[in-house]
Amino acid sequence: MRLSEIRQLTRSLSTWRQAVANGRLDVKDFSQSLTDYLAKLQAKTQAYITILPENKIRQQIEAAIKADKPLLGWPVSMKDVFITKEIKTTAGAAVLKDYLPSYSSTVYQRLVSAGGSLVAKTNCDAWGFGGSTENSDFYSSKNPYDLERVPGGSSGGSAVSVASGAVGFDIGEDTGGSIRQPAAFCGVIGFKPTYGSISRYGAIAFSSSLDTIGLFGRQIEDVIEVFNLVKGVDGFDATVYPSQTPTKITSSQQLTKIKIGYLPELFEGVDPQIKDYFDKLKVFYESELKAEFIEIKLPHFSYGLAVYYILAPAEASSNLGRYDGVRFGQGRQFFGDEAIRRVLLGTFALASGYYDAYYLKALKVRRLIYQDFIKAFNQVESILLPVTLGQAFKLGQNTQDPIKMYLEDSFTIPISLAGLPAISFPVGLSDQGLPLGLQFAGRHFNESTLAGLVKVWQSFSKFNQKYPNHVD
Amino acid sequence: MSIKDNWQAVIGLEIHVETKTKAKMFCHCLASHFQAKPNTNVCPVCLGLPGAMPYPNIKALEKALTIAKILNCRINTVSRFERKHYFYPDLPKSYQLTQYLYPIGYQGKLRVDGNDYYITRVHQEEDTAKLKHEVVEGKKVSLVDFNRSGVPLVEIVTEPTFTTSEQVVKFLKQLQKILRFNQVSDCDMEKGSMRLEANVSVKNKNQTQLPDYKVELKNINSFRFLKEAIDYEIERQVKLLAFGKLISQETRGYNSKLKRTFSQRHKEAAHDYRYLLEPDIPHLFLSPEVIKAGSRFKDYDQVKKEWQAKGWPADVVEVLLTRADQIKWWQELDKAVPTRVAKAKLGHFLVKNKSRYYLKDIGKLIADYAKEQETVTDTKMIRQTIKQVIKDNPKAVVDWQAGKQQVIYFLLGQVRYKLGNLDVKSVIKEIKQQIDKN
Repeated sequence: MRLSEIRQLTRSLSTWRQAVANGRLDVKDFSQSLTDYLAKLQAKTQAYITILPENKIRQQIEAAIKADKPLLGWPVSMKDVFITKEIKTTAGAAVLKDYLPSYSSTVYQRLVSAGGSLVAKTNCDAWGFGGSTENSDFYSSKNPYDLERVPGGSSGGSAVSVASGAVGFDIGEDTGGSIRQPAAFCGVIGFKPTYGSISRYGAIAFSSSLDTIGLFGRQIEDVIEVFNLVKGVDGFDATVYPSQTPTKITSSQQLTKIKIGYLPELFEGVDPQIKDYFDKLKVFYESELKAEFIEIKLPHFSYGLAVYYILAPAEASSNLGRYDGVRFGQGRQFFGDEAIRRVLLGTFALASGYYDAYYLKALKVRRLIYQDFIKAFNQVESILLPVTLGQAFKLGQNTQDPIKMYLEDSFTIPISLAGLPAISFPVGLSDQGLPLGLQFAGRHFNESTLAGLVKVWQSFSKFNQKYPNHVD
Repeated sequence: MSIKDNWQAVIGLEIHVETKTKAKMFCHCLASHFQAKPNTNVCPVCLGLPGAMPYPNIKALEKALTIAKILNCRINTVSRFERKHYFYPDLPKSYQLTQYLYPIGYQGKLRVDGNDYYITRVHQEEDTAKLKHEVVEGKKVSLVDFNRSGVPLVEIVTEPTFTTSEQVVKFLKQLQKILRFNQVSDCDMEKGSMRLEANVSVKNKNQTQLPDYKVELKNINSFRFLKEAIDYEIERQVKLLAFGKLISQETRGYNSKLKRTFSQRHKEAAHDYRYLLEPDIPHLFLSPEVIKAGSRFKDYDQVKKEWQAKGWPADVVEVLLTRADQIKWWQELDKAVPTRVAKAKLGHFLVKNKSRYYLKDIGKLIADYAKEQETVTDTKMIRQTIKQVIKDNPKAVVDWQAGKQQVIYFLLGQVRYKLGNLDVKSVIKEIKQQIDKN
């Protein structure tokens, strides 16, 4: 099977379903070809930590087709933070180098019962600490559009996996932008639903009040379909919102005259090409949907980064306490520099005497950021804003300057702090041929509107049909 | 005047009780752990495995609420949990979930024997795993049993409200009775479902403010030992203070054989637990149903009084009425036994034969009781028994003949011992007749 045929099958769930229905899918041929491609992709991009053997891939597809499961064995990868029973799970961390879990995360279980076939677990910054995969304790992944550049992070391998067409979709996790930023760097959809949509049970925790499981996908219809299959209460994660209904993509008719908010000042210091695409999209939505673009104010938006780098490390320092190497995993001497940095930051922020000045203050500012958004959503239904400062940066470019690396998350973090849903999506390529993205953020549990807006652009731009040419 | 007269003890308690629930506090594992095979009631949550999350057990919170209500506390109807961080092998997550800022109950009191004792707070937390230090294959090892990890635990903290060990024990016994009565906890110290710590310090009688130190007495598993330890500690501290010495802030244990406390650990600075609001558990708004269910409890003293007023003797009630769910049975019994005299007699009969009749078929109890109460009227049998008794007690006959009248009652007792209830007058007459025949 040629790569184009693999990509044909992973491009959309409907093409996969058709192939299965017509009997055109040769499962053995497909699994072998996919296994070969995964190996090749790994050699070029190091997107994965674990690639499942060919027979395991084949068995999953056959079983799902036989049982007529909704996903019919469609191949999927997952960020290596999700606990998968008897499949190595590392969170990109050397501490968990050979960790074989004894149970499975809810999201993986749901994926399996929906008939998804797990083919690989993807590389990420250790524990989710980073925005480039350069903090992975194993190796950095590479951007399939330019192998000298980062794919973004922390869910970098996941973005590569979907962008290269190896899988139909990928389950990632977004704490401060870990899905949306790599999606923008790799030219795919990065879907971060409302905090509390998908159970985090079995997702190795980074910052529990921010960690949000989401998806990478090629087209929005599939993303939403899978979202509906995995979300909702499970009796294990108490923060899952109880009364969720299936998400439907809002039709373009219903989106007519939609009010979209924007913040012009955010584009200062951002690659002008991104502003150009924003202007292009503005015109597009104005003409396509008669959308009304309204300038909004989010007075505390710029404090997001500072708040985040108090709260997230504080929670992380607590979440990482269990990794003492006694009952599982390796000892604490295997923690990487960034993990040590964040544990120290967080421990400091929670120490008595500093608690009020840092942690408590940060909680209060978080509340203000949240309230800003709630106010803005009285005015508009959605906000269109940048995801990144520019195109994917070069490997090693930011590694010596953690603060510069942190700044990369300025536009994604405030949305995470407010627990809002957001979708990052490809808007086009830079003059150097690298993907650029923008994101829609919306009201809590209103993923429908965002998905509708992305779908309108997807139908026009056909971004879902683009592939990088460095991994052929 | 002894030196003790110038000093007064100040005592506060920290009491941990495991509440009776089916499941653990934050997972679906069984909570019962006593004598269970080690590490059989465990899951990713109570083992603290990567990715595991707490899922609060509302039933347990209901029990904690009951304790808070029993102790007349003010109630926080919104529950939050905090992570209390410290590293210890029995704490797999590296933190214990507890209620720091929002205890379920606060500012309470309990009246015992006419004294009010004040409660600072009642809060929900989770138990730790259990460490066992053993020798395996000749090697000293520490083993961890996670069956207890995550079992619902309620901590009751009192104000420094006691001045004597007697008050402490009275309070604790009363608390134990009420909690058991309402089936909130077994409060079994041997099984560890009730654990006691006392903070003891001593001040000059004229001093109004509290002492600036306290000595924590820990790991004491009976009321008696706690009393002994407190008494010893008061004496030790008084002696030191009387000689103008400073007492250091420390934790002490109690050696029950030597009957003395001993230093376990000096407290340097206060431990920094880095309390963090548990992000994995949202605000829990206790529903009206939960509050209603949690507020349902019976005042033990009140119940006892009621049953005494119905005519049941105090000692019978004390021994037998130990749990609120027994009341229904008592009501049935009460209907069947109308008179005060009968209640007293049957009550004592019941105490004597508790295992055979208590909380069982009331019909059978009454029938068997009545049978025992029946007077033996078989004159032939009575006559023969008296004959035998006289024969067996020749000394009694001699005494009788020597004019010792009271010997007759001894013989009567012997006859009753053999036959049961008898018509006393006629039997005495018969004994006299037979003895005179001799």
